[in-house]
Amino acid sequence: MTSAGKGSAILEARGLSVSLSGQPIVRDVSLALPAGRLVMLIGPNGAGKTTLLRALAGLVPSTGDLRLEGMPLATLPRRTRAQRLAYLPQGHQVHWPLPVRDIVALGRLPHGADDPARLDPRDSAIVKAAMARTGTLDLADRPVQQLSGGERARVMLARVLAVEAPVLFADEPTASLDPRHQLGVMQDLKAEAKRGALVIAVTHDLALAARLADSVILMAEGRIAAEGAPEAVFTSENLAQVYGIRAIRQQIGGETLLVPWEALP
Amino acid sequence: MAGGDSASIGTAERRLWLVPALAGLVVLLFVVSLGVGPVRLTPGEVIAALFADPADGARIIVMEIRLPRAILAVAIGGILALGGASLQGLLRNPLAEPSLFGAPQVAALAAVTTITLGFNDVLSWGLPVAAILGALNSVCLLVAIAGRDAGLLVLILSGLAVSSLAGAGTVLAMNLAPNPFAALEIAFWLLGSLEDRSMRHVTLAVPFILVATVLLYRQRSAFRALTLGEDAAESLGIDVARLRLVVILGVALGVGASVAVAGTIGFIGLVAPHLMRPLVGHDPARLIVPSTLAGAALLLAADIAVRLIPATSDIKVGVLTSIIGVPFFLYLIVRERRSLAGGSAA
Repeated sequence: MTSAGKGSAILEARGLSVSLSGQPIVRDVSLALPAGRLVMLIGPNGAGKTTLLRALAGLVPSTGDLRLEGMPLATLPRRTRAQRLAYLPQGHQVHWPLPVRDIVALGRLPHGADDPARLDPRDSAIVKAAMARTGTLDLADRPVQQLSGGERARVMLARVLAVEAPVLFADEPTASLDPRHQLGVMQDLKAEAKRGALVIAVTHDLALAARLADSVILMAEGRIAAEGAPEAVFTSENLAQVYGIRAIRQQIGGETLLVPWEALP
Repeated sequence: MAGGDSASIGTAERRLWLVPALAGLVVLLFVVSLGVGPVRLTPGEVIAALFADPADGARIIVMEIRLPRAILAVAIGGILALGGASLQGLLRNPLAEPSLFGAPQVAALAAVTTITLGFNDVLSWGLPVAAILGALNSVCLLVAIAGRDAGLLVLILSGLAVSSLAGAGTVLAMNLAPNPFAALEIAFWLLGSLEDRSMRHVTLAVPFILVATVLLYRQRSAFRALTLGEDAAESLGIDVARLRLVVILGVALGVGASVAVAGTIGFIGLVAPHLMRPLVGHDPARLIVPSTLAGAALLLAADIAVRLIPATSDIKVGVLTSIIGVPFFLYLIVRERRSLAGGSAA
């Protein structure tokens, strides 16, 4: 699917700004993100993470230059955009009690599969694979409303994976999940990045970000405060300045353990 | 009923009999409707009358009196149910129904106003146009108030306000009516009825209803995508702003045209989709066709019932649908009480 080539940025923003009802929320953000990486977008509440994510996904109007695979996002046909960018919103809401299989099959809608009862073999195989990767195959016939929060999060993840888009956005995919499901969801996202997609996830979980992210974008007041590899971003100064916290850090078998420890006065 | 919970993986079991069965029911009720009235005709006699020579008495009764009535029942019942199912799909809310939000009432007010002011007579094209514009206003208002994620409570309260205002306006028009006869004519708009309709009424309403049907029918898969919320639907390639406009327009066309020839007939759009929803696995896309057919069947049945219920004067079909619909609405509110309470914060 990924045809960007040359290891260049698949998603690129220059001078991106977003205002919502007159209030500037995202100010002058510039990014260049290559394929095959798990990027975690972090920052305190109200830093503009969700708005930036929605702007990058083309869901909210922005000013500045925003390019997907070198093409200005605004000029791409709606359908192409839907095939190339998958978006997992916060909260995992499902308004009607559809069976899991039909929810996951919605991921094939941008590819023309508008009836989950009549998927062609290829779409059907992709839906099944997405469910297998998220461990939701045996939930296929259950109405989504009957699932636990963790199961539902996995199903919604399967839905975005089924789009098979080269760029995947996830807004707080692990919020209010138990530790096992938090790890499961993040590892699934990491696996998706390893398969070649650019995965951008908003999270408040600094420990998972420090451990699993290929790179981290730290936002504060609508701007990027720091960006880069986790160890370069999670410095004591950044954590103190942006979050107002002190964290404990330790290396365990080559991986970083980061625990937010105390709020600074 | 075929096995409910035994749906298997793969192409899950769908009730393939549902649409043909509903279509058969509509045809059956249609023929019965042609036979019921002061002169009773058996289905066989009805079919014979359709092919009899033009001077035949039975043929005149069937073709001139009962056929327009039956056609209007199918068209209006169908579009009201389709409009309800579509609005419910758009707002992701099983209680969204045009008549709860004052759409027919405002359409009636618009029709009455143009008649009182002398712009239209009862059989001119201006009438459906005025009613459609009235309905358009109220549906726009509703969707604007509902916004992205309004709770049920906000929807119901604003609908109550709009329909009360429209009701007051219509009563005012009756107060100001120059003579009792004019007041009686206005009262007609408040009591929906299919009695004494001619082919002229059919040609006034059906073209608009057909356009509305096509507009709404084509939005099926968008309603399914909206199950995941507006952002997810947008990311799946649905133009949510355009969808909103098309649904508003379709509902307004359908409701306005219906009100212009039959007055206000409420609650079909609430009851029909609700009855069909469990049969299609709550899928808002798969709901569209069965709801439309069920709405047509319901209004046909109600219109047959008002002819069969023994009464000294005629019972209006709009009154009957409200008598059935309002308790049904209350029952739905009781069932949705939890989300109602939660929705007030939105």
